[in-house]
Amino acid sequence: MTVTLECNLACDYCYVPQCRDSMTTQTAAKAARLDNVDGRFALWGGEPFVDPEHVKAIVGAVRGAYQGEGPLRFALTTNATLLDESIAAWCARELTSVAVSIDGCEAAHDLHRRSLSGEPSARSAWRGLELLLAAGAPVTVIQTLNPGTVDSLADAVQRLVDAGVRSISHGLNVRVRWSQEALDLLRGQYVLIAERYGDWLERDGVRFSPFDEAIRTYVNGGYERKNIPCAGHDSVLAMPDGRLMPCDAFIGADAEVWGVGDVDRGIVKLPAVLGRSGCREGGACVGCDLRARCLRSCQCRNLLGTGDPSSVPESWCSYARMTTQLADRVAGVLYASGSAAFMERFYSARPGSDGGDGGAATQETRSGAAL
Amino acid sequence: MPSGEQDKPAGSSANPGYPTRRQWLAGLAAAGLAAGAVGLSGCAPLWENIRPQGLQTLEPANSPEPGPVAVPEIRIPTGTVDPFDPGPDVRLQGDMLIERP
Repeated sequence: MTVTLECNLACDYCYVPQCRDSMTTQTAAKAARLDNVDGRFALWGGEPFVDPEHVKAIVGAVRGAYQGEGPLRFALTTNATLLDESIAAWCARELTSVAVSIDGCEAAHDLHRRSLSGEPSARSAWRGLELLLAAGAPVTVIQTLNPGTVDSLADAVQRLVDAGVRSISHGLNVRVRWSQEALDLLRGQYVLIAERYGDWLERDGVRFSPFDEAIRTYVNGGYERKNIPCAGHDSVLAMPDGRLMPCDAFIGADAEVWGVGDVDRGIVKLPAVLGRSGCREGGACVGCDLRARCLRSCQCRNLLGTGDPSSVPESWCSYARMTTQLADRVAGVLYASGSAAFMERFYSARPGSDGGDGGAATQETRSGAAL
Repeated sequence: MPSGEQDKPAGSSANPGYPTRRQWLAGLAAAGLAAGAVGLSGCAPLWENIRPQGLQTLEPANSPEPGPVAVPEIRIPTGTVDPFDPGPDVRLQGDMLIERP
């Protein structure tokens, strides 16, 4: 749910159009009553907390309207710059997950994440993060990687861990050019992180998405395509006006071309180009040994990175190979050492998982059923 | 991880030094054990015998007595990208996320 498109920041890599459109509680209620909604609602924007009372009203509307069988769960993404103790406590009480966008330490963060008037935002973002952690909110920090901000990445991750963050997710900005020098710099930082990963895992239970994901996909025998929230199969994006888009990658796209429906009618179509792995035909992934372990064939992400849903950004390939290689080295060492934390994380059974290796056919079956 | 280790050639990650979960469970089953029965934290001696020669060397010297154990239900974590699950698979949108402002 795009709670609002209004934001107090103007991050230069953000692909969300800046305007003041906000979702009404009526639209939120309609979205909550859509067929096949399973009770999971992700709230984002814009910055949802430009109006905290509005966020609370949206959550209340969803609670009142939802008639599904699954438990209600709310995730929210925030830049954390507008938080106070009261909002942090609300997050801890109401949300299953709070994603906080912090790109790094002050200099790295402020290089791209500034206010509408150009003021730095790192100090307020870190302060907001501290408030959330103090309140006991389930925090994941999202770091967006840019070529000019990765030179202190390992220190930034260490600082997050030291602050009490236990879940860190990285997103590569693929809409900018990554030189080989920048990729080498990033790799150097990931090597430093790899040297600390085992300690973080065993001592603090830290989840670090670039490595966790690479290890998990190998242990699991590859991604289950049906679980990739792409192209409207498992999730859709509700815009403030009630239009439904395949996912957040399409937030600024032409709804006539890419839209899949609206909250009044539900999902009525899927754009023909979507619905499968973006690299299935003649793409760069054909023959790639990492294909089963790589999410970057997602067509939505390809659209963002190259403008072509079927064309994979080169930086993604370099990044996937880099992180997978390092993750495998770390995992091999942890496995060889008999790390209990490693075994628990990656080999223990988890209720609710459905077993099997999945595959594109499964995804298509699901999409057919959904439609 | 050893510093200064040379990069493996492209593609080597397809065969890393740890098993898939199916291989690991098969190794346990072949040894007459179930993951849930022995408790993961108690399995280290057994893992020693399953890796990295893989599933051929299954003579656990120090493993717990197998005893009567239930055959584990094979549930493979999905690798899902689930922003709502704070459990083992939590990742907001993982590293596929570009940015949510």
